Amino acid sequence: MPNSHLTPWGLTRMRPLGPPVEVGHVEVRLDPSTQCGVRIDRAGRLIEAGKHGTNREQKRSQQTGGGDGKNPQPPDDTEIIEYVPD
Amino acid sequence: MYPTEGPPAEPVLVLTRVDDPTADMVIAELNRRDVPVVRLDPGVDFPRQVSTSAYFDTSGMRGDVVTASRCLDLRRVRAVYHRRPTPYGSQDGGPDPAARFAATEARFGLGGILAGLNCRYVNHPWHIARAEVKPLQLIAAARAGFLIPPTLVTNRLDAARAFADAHKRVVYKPLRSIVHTNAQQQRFTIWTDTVGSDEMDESIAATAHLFQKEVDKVADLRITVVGSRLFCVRIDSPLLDWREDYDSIVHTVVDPPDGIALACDAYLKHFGLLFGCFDFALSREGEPMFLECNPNGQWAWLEEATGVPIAAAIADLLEGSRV
Repeated sequence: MPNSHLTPWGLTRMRPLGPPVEVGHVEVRLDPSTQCGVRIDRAGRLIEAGKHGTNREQKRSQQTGGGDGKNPQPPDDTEIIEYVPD
Repeated sequence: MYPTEGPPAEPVLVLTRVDDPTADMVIAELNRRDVPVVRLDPGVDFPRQVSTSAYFDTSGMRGDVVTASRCLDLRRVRAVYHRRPTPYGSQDGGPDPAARFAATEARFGLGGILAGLNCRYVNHPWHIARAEVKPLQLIAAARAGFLIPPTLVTNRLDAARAFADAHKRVVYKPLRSIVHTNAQQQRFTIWTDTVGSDEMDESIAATAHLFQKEVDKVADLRITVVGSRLFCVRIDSPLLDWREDYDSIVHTVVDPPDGIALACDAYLKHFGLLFGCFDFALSREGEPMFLECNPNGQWAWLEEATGVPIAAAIADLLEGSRV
């Protein structure tokens, strides 16, 4: 195709998204009894439910990154990640 | 209290990643109702922490899926909540053929087992996949009776320019939302934004591009449908694409426009969905114009902002207490 080498016009519409939202926890584990996620902070302490503000942060990070805002992308690569839109 | 007679209650299977506070809201509600829950993220947990055997014969499928903390009988699943599981193989990326083989077999094997359960799905993953395709959305929306803004999907520059000139104000939006991360870890995305024909060039030929007549809108409506329940929230934002800044949104729970519930129902039935997040632009004439319907959209922020009880409505569907 004659134009297949072109960078698609749509990519010219890219805008900066800002840094990932700081979510306050470093790890999420599944609580075997409740099957809910439990969040662990940098010191290895449990973050009390309702105090991690996840709804608000999630709405930002998930609607933007489709991720949790803390999973780094491969540092040596430029890539487009699949994202489930909100 | 003595334990009640009979087998234990059938569990709800929740498929999502471990970091999903939205799923947690629904699971917490199910816990309050003493509905058992089995949660896993198949694309991450299998086969590290999850094993399965499924047997197929003339009576159908039987077997189990065992997680680190639960054993799921494939014939005793009450309902499936398919939220945001990690795609199979995304943990083992890279060109290793063995890892690719393992991921593909997992997707078609365990993914097939989990898609073949004889129960209610909110929503079925393959129905979600179909309902996420914008051309199919627009066709279904027109059939369901929604007003839709004139829309063009093209890789022809002349067609795009003619469309933009004919409709005066048009927007460009990607057919699938993306986030682009560069080598410096900076993130980029494409919001819906206006475009003039003079901004277009021959690089439109490089792939499919979606252009849509811009609705002269006074506000947006976000309608979340959960089974037979409908939650209509008006979104006032200074931005064309309100997703760009949730902090600038004013949310108001409003009555749905006349006739819209029936059209939403017809639309969801077309795709075999029990849950859908509809986005409308409310025109100056008060007409809701269909923009899109996300079959797996976010809703937790709406519940937080307005108190609409969406988690409980989803739990109702999963528990089986109402449709």
